[in-house]
Amino acid sequence: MREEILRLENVTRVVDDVVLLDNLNLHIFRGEIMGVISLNGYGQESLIELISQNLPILYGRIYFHEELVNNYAHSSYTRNKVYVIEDPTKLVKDLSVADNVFVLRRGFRKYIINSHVLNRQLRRLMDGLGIRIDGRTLVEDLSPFEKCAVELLKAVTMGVKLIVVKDISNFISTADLAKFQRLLRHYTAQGVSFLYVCNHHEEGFKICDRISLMENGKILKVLENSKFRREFIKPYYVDAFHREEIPYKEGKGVLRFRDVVTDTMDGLSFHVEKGECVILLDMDRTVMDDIVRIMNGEMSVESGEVCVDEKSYQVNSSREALREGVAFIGQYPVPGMLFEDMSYIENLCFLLGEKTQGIWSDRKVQKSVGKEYEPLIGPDIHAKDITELSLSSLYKLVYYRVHVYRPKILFCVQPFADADMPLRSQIILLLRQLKKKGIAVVILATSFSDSLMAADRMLQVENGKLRQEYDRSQFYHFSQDATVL
Amino acid sequence: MEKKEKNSFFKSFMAIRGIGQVITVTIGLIILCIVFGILSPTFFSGRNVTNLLRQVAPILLVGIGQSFVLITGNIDLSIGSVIGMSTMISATLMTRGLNPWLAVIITLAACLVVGVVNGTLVAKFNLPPFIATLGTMTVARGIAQIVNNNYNTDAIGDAAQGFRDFFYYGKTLGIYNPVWIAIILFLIFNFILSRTRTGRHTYAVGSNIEAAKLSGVNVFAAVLKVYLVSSFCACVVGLITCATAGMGTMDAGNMYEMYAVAASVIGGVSTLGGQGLLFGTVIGASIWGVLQNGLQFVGAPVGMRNVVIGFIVIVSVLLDVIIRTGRKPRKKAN
Repeated sequence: MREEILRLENVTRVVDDVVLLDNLNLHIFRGEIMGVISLNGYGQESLIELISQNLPILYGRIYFHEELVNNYAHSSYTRNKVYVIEDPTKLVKDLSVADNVFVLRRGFRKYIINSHVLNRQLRRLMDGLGIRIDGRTLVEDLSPFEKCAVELLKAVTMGVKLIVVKDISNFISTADLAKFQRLLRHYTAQGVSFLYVCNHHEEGFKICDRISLMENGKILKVLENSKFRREFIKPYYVDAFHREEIPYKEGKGVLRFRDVVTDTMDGLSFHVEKGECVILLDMDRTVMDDIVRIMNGEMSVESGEVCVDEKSYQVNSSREALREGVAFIGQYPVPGMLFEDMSYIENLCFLLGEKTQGIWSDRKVQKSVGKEYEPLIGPDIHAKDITELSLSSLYKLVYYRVHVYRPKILFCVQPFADADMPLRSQIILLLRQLKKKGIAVVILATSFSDSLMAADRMLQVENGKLRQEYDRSQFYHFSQDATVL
Repeated sequence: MEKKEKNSFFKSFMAIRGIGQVITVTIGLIILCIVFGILSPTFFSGRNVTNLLRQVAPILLVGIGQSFVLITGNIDLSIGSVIGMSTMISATLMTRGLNPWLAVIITLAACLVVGVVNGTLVAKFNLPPFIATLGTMTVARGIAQIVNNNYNTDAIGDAAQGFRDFFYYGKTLGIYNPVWIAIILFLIFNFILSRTRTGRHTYAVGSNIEAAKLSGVNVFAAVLKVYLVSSFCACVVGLITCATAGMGTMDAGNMYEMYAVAASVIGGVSTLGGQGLLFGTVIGASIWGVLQNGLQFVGAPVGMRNVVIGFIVIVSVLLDVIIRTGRKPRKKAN
């Protein structure tokens, strides 16, 4: 019989009269990778929190290593030996890799630190994994993949038997994800178990042994490895994932990168047409940040040229960029890109203030925008306090704000990061709305997942260069769902 | 093989966080010394150099304490008042006939209480360090005034001559004792910061407090320790001040908290926490001392000296903020 690492039995967790976990059952065995796909994101955080720490539960029992650690009658608030790998990293960026792995952990007894010995030990561990990171390197200088590998190593060194890997494809590239998944397999062979939390079933299918589908804090179904097929998951997906062809005008290049060289770009060239949606798949997650920095004036190119509307593009600030018709939606835009002290309509008109004089003094403009967008947004447009609105409504606000402003190009950084399934389908619809208005959309991403649903082209960038270009007819290479559902 | 080892040593040396800034300020210090040496030939005289070292020692000591606190991302504004308290308590006890060394121990205990209070307010009750230490600054200054009923003390007398020699007038191997005290404390605290678990925890708390907590670091203990180090260093400077004047003055240590911040940040200790080397503080304190001394030699008024030092502090902090917020990710290797 397989050794059980974690068992949650009929667990119900209620906080402030809100049911976060509802009669939840979950078993993880030794050396197993259990996937959790949350269909609406609800309860996911609470589940991870509860696995990490024995917090009060209304009903049920939790067993860790076959020992009862938490139940409805008594919760000790103690921490379980669980490590969560997520973004932001739990490593200390100003210390070296060796310090993070060995010194910063419970149970490190030595008072005087011999860096040479630690580096030697680390090298031995790294060799076992087949990766090369100098123990003296500062964590700040590591790539996202290296940070994850170091966290994994740290967790194993701490003697942790269950590691939660949360939404990892949001912060490491597709190429690195495969490498990381190989590391997970290496450790499962040694008896370490993983809870792999992700938003997309295709990602989970590649690595997990079993997958639990979760909705409203409840496990709906556990899929065995043999059932990792689209037809088994399709009934749980909303029907919004269908393609819609929105033509764009070819030959009207609105953005052009011509042999651009920076620290991370090595002669990058590509162009984007008006009203086109392009995924820029950053295979090793090196150029994304630089593209944003170039476009908002924080950085200039070493050589090459960036053109917007066939004119050389050079700005000094994001405000100037906006005036030139370049807008941005960052990763995790809610609440990052909203002003909580402003009403919905004020937030919606915020960018418009750059175009229209007197928008803040003349209520007529705001009223007119309200009237035009009410059919699209609904009654939430009249909300005075946006903090009371749903996540879906706030996402609408972020995207419709760009829609109102109507820039030439919109850069979206990882738009599907952290989004549950309904939200992802909504983002796809919002991206389509922007396309319909003739706005060119550039999705900067490390994984394509649902971006393919809205995209016309995909540009694969590796080592700072354009490696490959795929048009819509070739998307089936990457995702069945992008073309079939 | 030898070349490889040399390369490895150089690589390790250059990999030390903040070493670049320390090298830069060291070059700045050398240039300053050359400039003042040219402007005033007596600048490099043996007498001036020994005096300069003695002048720098207290600044280095308070700089060491402040550096520990800054590395955890906090600040200690009570340093100057603790110096005043230390001076007044030790002098008062000595003028009342207490054995000087017993007076030193009592003074040390009293100053460490301030460190405990600072650490507890900041780490346990989550008070902003600026406000917490501003409060203890006023309290400590008040204690310095209360100790001798709002008067400066009389001379500490001949019985305390050994104390005065140990802390200020005495020489060992031709170098004044305060310099030795500073060197020994620097070596001890530098060892703690760079080679021990306590040191790593200090950096970890300043760099990412949440990560530190999750890695099993006792944040309260780490913060308490740095405030204790700061109070200890301020206490020693108070004792040096008492030995220098031979009496206790209520306003002793005024503005020293600012000198401490200046020595630290000029030497590359980050006000944002998580970064800094004590060797940098040595250079920072030396720059402060050389500027004070050198500008005096060339006849610059006190006001001008303060303007120059203040300007250097602002530029140092500005550089730190620019470097830390503008640091780009490493280029991915092919």
